[in-house]
Amino acid sequence: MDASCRNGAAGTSTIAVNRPPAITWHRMHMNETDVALPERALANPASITCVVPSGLRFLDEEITEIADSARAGDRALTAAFDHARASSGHAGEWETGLGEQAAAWLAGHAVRHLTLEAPANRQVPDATVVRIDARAGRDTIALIDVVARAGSQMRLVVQSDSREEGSGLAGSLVRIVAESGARVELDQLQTLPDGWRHLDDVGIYLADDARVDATQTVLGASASYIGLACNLAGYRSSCTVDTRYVGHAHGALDFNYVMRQRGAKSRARLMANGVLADASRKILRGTIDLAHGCKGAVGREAENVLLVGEKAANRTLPVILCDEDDVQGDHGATIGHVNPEQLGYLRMRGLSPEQAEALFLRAAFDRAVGRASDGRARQAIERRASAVLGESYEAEEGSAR
Amino acid sequence: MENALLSIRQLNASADEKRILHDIDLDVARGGIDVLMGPNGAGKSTLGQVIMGDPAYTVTGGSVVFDGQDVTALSSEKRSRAGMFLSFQTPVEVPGVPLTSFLKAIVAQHPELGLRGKRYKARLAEVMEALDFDESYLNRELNVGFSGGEKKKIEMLQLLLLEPKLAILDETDSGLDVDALNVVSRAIAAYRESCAGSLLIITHNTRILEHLPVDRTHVMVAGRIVAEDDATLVDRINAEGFEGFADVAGENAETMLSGWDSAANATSDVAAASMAGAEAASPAGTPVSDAVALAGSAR
Amino acid sequence: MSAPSSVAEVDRSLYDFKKSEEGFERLAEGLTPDIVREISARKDEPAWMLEHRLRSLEIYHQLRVPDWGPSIDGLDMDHIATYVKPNTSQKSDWESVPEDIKDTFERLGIPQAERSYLAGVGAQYDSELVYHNMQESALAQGVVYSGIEEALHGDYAELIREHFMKLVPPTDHKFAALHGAVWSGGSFVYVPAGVHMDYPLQSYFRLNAKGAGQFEHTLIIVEEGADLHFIEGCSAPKYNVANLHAGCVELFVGKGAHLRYSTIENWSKNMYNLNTKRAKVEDGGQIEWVSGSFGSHVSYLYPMSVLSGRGASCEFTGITFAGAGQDLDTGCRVVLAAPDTSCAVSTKSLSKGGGVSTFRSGITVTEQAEGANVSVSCQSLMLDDISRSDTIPAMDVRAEHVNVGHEASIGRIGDDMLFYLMSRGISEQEASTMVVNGFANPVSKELPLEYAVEMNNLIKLEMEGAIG
Repeated sequence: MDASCRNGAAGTSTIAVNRPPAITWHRMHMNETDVALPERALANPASITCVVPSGLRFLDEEITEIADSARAGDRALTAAFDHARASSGHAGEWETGLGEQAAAWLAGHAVRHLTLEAPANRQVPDATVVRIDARAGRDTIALIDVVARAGSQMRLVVQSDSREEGSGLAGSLVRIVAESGARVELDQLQTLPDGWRHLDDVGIYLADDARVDATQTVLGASASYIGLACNLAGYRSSCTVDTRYVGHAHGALDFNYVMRQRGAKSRARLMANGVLADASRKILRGTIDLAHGCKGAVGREAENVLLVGEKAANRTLPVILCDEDDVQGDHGATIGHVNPEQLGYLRMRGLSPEQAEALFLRAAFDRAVGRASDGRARQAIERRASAVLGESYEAEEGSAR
Repeated sequence: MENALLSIRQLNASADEKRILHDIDLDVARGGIDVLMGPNGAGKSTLGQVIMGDPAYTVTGGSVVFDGQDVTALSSEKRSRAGMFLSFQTPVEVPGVPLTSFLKAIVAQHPELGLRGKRYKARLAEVMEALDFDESYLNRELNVGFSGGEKKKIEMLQLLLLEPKLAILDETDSGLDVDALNVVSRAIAAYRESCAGSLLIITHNTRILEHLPVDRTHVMVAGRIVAEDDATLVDRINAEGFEGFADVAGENAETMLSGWDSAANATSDVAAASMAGAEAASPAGTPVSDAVALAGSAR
Repeated sequence: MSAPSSVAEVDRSLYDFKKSEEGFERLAEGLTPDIVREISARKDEPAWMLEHRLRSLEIYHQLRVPDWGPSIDGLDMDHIATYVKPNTSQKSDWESVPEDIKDTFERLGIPQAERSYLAGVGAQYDSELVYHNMQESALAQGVVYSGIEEALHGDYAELIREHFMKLVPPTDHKFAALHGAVWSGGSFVYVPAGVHMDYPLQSYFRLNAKGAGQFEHTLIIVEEGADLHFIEGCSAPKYNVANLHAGCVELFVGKGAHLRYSTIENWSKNMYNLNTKRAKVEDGGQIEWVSGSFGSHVSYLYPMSVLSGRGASCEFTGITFAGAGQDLDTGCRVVLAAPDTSCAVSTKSLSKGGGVSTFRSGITVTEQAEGANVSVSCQSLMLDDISRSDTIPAMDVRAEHVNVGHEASIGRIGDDMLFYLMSRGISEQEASTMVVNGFANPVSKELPLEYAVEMNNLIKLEMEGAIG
């Protein structure tokens, strides 16, 4: 599969995304996904807002043209990456979940480039909030680079939504370099209406004792392509990814997670939980790669998929690659309908099987509200929930963070 | 009994082709407090589940009439909406569903309660206080990671919110669990006060009955009702155990009854509980499975 | 067709390439229709089989080698015909068999008389007798067990035609196509409705005079309500100079029938084992696979079960041991294509001495499989830090009321376990072997005793690194 973009109809390029490190039989149709990207106008940079708390250094650039050359921000990230790599003594390429083509496309089509730096040993409890308010008929893409210096702590929240009629494409590319002992929380929420497409790419590099905890909540869009790759290069580095999603109507969800465990005693954890209703489809590839030398590393993967739609379809590819003996790797996946015991209990409490299914679907939104980072996020979730459940949805009191 | 709330006639039920309940006759009066007792394996919990329409069991004969309606062929959810309630010994875990979402959903099946909006919140707060129920539980997933006592509170919380006409409480394992007993006692008191509902308490330990004005006692051995009387039957059982009922029960009774006495029963409850705990802590398997980390159980 | 009594007597001219006027000289070693025609003619096959071979050859030339698994660069694809015809300059005798192979026979305690047979350099009369007896007693129960080539000339020719490569069509992959073109030898078993075979049939004793059965085709039909246990292979390494094995096994399990298919594959470590095994199961039928993969340089092996009838089920228990110089890509595939079907897969994987073991599975639950129940469990044990173990399980679920569970784990033998055993006076080597045998227990306990013992011995040798 060659890595160049393919040009199709006038101004459309097709990129291949989410190819896992180890592929399987082609006839299972899980190896990668083609995404057609028509060339069209970029959204107004004002469609993306960034609120940066004090304590962080930052650079916030608006972009109005598709770019090919490296920007100031790119250079800063590259420098940080090289520095981190040198100090942790690990080699390793920069990698994102969606893949090279997608990362290049997203970087080139971004309308806003935010570069954040948490200075050494600075703990910043308030979150940096990036809101992508996508524009119909356009590409609204944010490029966010994060450099967390040694011992620093910070939080980044990215919300993708749209209040416009029509549809378009929204996306983000988040690149994080966490130096020794740094800690970054990444919280992503997507509540785009039906008809929209979403590209969400993350690449992370972890030095010794560095840590990234990522939460991805995917509730909207008709097609979501999500990838996250983490290079746990550092000794005792750690990365957890907690994904929650809801599929409905004819929506498609396409995930690729890659945890490259290179550092000794590194810890990787992938958790994904979702509900697929109606005729929605989802494919999730999760790879734990225990590279030679990562003695004492632990990599775990757990996936739970609830099917509540007659035509719902799920594909799962949980992979463990292991080149080292002093490690622990495991994964578990459960896919199917509500189990009979649970169904029995719910029925004895007055819920018919259909109502039980509806409860699980609704509960997915309730939980999302439970971990919403602010009022705007809550409202976005409520709006999306109402659209999906077909009824006016009100979140539970006292359930927001 | 005339105008009984619950009337069971000649009920027979099986699971996997094996007969468990034989010709059960049992009535619960409106507003009554009935107790169902019997040794281990008598089928008491099964009867509770069959009354609620658990599809794991097949009714092969007889009838269940509730509040004047023949519910024998009715689905569980319809029985619940008709005013029947069963509290489980070990409620199943339902990951993915926060307790608060669940409570709202089940309350919605009883519009006659009028619990919506502010009224619902107020009532929920009231009930939580009565049970000394921590608010933080509300956001946790239904029964997931809760201790036995906490799960009991969740069952009782539902009892108080739903105010069913008949509450069947399966307390067969409550035994020496002081916390659980406390919760249940408080709940029963609150339940009776708020709606004077009827109770069918399933147990083989009489602690729980200590301050309750029991109306009728039913004794079950080897899947049959072998005796029925007023509250004095409870004292007799406390003193003599279930030995005396062997003849009435038939062949299978002997094996069921051997070893019953209050003290022995109490000890075996503890033994059973600590064995269950030990098993949970170290999963069985070949030696190698200990060495290699295993994922959480995939169902 | 009389069974030759020794390999030396086989007409080797079958494979001598004939130069033709059409300038085929340049493609001296290529696989051409002429070679295929010769094969068919010598076997005196029905016309339909020749057509099948030729069609397969065409398909073979159109398909590409797989790009998702271990490298098969060591296979000389340009001279594939050499695999079909043994090198005529090869001395087909005991002297030419590599020392380490002979050594393994010695270590495994293989009787002298069997060694030549296993090394593909000689037949032996004992096995012919055993085979003959097996055939007779099977027939007494109504079960047909014969060579498939013989059967093509007998009463079952039509039955074979109806089934032959219908389950594994030549289009399936390149080596299925190759097999379709040049297949040779193999077993045919037919179990009539309601017949329960008392004891397992074993392929080991079925004489195969032409060597190690590189392109064998096994076809087994178990009719409604019948029951059979078939054992393929043995633990001793089967050696052949021409190092490609592209066999095919097709199993048809009728309504309510039961088939257990046990295999210990231990091809010698120069071999490329590209085997295709597939079973189709009707309503209420059941297939059980018991599989031990020990040999080969490179393996592609994924027994596949197609559960096409309501309530059909499959069970797969397997172990793969990849030692030095080995890259074994094994696993299984299951297609649940009817309501209330179920499958349980349990595999173990061991890597040692730089070996690479990949567990690869594909579970497809189609829209028709409401009520399906699937459980897959794969455990991998790394025996040192120079080996590799990969797990690549894929699940495609398209029905709603189903239950699919999967779990996999990987690690090494716990230090505490080793310490415990060693503190009881057991050497580290022995302790590891003990643990590994325990690890392999789920497979060995499914095998008849003598096979289980052989498998344990094999593991012992692998652990000692004694097998080259």
